[in-house]
Amino acid sequence: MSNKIKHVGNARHWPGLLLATVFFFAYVYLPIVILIALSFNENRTVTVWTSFSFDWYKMAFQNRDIINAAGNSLLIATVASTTATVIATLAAVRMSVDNFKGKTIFSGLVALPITVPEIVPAVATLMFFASLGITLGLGTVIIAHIAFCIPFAYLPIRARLEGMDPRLVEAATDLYASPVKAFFKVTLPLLLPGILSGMVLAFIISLDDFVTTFFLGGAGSTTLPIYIFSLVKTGVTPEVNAISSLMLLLSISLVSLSLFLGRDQSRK
Amino acid sequence: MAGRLSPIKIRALLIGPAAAVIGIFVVIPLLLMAWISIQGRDYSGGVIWGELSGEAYLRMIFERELDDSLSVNLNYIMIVLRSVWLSLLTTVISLLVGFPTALFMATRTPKWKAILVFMVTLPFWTNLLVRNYAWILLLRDHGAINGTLSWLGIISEPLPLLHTQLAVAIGLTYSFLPFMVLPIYASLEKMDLRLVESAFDLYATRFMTLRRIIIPLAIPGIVAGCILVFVPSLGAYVTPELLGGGKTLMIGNLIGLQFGAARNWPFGAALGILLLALVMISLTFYALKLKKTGGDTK
Amino acid sequence: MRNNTDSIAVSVREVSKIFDDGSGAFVALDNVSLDIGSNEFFTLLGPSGCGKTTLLRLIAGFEQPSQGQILLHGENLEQLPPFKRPVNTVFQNYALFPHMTIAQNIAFGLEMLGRPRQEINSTVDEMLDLVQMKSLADRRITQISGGQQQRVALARALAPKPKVLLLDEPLSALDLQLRKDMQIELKRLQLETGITFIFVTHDQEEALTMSDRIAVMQGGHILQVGPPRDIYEHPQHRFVAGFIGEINLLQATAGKTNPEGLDLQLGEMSGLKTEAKSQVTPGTKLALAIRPERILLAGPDKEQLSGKLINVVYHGTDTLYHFTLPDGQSLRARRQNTDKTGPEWKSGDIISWSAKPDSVAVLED
Repeated sequence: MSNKIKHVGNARHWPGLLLATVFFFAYVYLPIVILIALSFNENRTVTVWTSFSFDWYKMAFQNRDIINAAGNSLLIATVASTTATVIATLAAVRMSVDNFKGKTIFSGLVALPITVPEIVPAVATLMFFASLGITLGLGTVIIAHIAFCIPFAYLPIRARLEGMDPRLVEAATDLYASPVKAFFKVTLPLLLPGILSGMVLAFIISLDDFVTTFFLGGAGSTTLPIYIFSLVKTGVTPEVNAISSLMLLLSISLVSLSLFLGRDQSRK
Repeated sequence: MAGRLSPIKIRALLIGPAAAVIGIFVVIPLLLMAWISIQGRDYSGGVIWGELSGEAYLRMIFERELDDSLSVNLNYIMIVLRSVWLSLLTTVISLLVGFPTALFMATRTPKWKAILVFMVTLPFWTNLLVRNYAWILLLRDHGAINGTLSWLGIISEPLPLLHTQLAVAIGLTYSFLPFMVLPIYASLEKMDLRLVESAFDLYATRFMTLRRIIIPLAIPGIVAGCILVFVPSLGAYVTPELLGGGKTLMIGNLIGLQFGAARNWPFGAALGILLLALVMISLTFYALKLKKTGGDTK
Repeated sequence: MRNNTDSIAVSVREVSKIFDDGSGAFVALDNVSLDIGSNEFFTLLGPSGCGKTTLLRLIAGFEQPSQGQILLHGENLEQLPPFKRPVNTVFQNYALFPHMTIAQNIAFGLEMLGRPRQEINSTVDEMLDLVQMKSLADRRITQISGGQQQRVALARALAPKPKVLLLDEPLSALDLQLRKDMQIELKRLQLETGITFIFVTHDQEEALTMSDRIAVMQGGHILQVGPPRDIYEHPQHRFVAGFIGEINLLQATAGKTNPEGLDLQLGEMSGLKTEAKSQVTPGTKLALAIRPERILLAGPDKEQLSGKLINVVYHGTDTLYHFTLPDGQSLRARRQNTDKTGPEWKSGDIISWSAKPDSVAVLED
């Protein structure tokens, strides 16, 4: 009797759960799979499969606009993510040991760029730059990207610091390391995986950004998402499928890297 | 020690840069936006500084006729209401799909849990624009869905799928679904499966167990998930832009328009403030709900 | 007892420590004074929250005293940050650096002191030998057991040859057998190195077996300081008596003082004496403490002191007898099982007992 009750009671075997999960993953992954499949489609009509081909990738790589856009994307993402990571690391390290009145306010402030819908700070910053008479372009895009990359770098670093045993730093100072030496010999090496993981996430977020770049960009700051958007708006071409697929693959490899770096090795 | 820095100086040196970047390039622009929303409009695209005006807020409901009288214009309010409606719809669909998925994930072995969490997280980090573009390929008149349906002989004419509210709801759900699954999973994962067994042992049916045991335990996750889906849906720009077309604008697109073709900064700023206010209301609701259930999502 | 300043390693003078987290002040140490001699194995013993760890952290320099001063070999430590104090700590959870090997952990302090490489290498070797970990020098911290981590933590703290070694409940994470082995090991290390050890624990057995002297702490105060035997045999406070070992606490009335000691009345019953320290006015109420194993059971004779046997509990090496005294107080007595059978006493029997005057301690509070 108890055997039967246990089987019915076991939530692992409830009907419908598996079905919902299969539906969920199909919903999430099927469009991506179809997009990637179509990027290898020889046919120009985009949505009807004829035969396998690398033509669209070749075309994409020969397109100067795409190469320029990719260059801009990488430049912006590299500068924004490294700058944001340095700034975020400094703040996170200090926040973990400091106690001051505005501490909660600062925590809220750091999270602000990811709390509000992106369109709002994007147009607000647009008006800010325009009112100051600053010409929109790569510079304005990079500054705005730094601002919204900070929380993405800050939060994982802060989390890692929270998980760190405060006695390790005490042990270092007990063993004659000055606070500066203790930071470089103990805190930083232990924090490094968190920092790298945060930096990669910030890099992806910057690389994938559309809204902020769209409103704050100008001539010469076209990134890949902006280029893809303009192509999609004027009419779908198979080339878009090829660049889009490449962007997806890049993001997927980077996020895998970030999760690999950020995994907690001390836990088993 | 020579040249030793005071705690205040260290703080300024380390926390200062982050506070400065976000303060100058996020907070000040937002304050400026609030100020601009009550300024007079310069028709060449900009503001007449110092000329206080409530025109931008009036414009949300009224239209100024040529003779300077006001008449009610519900077009903009409709866009706002549609945004709220589509975001609610997105939240409900996400909950219906996300909850059973989260429950499924929470009842797997640790190894499978890790794999499933990774698979749920992965799409979030891929390009939002590209993922929404993929749906164009599915929803177009000659896209994958219509193609399959006509190949099966179910339809003869392609169904109008793209540029509908349905398309926007599908796209928004698609964009933010992981935000629903992960917090619910997090609250269910802590659950002791033996609780379910003991409920059955005490003569509860499946439905009763779900209603009396599992859902109450998942409430903090459900509330967090709903907020995490609702808030970004409300401010969505890319999805309605790509999948909605001109007829299914949302607040985000209306704001965007004011800085493009319409060139109406005060109105764009006022809509921005409205959107922020809606977000604040949602977050306050969340905070109150969380306090009531006494749960924590961290 | 120790007045010679040369032999005093650590001198704690009227130190108070108050923590204030904004919601209210907490007095962790209340005007504590203490001298710890050179080469001493000194133990701070008390329940959690008694201030023992706070005192250790003040000596290490992780916290600053709110009042008073701490001297190390006569030198005031005030304002000296932890990295300038010739004092090292073995942490409760060891706090070994997870990104370094065992040898790198041990070398850390010496490197920070800027010692030449050659000296560092030979000291690390010496320390690895001392804690018998030579074969594991290049292992990572995550690859060794808790007991091994404990040894590394000791070696790391001893490597810079500190003047004082502070140990914060270092054995609490180990299982019983390992803990017993490490107690012996610690004592050996202390004797071999000749370094002053200040050991913090809540385990009275640990304190008794290793220490030269023990300070029993409670609620931010030091209640009693002395060698283990003194603390055990002559507790001055009810708390000390109860915290260390098993003890009978009895209410008595003072009688006459005579050369053999002070007469005591237990209700109507007389015949118990204690070593008189000073004049006590007859009729004064006194609190007595007597260890159960110091109660001598005579059998069912008609002596002056007697009690009604309530319960007998067999413990293998000894047997515990519970009595009720004529005035209603209860008394426990342990008797070694020197033969197989033991006396055939039953519940309800009246048994007479006695205790030597030097086994009867008078508590101060």
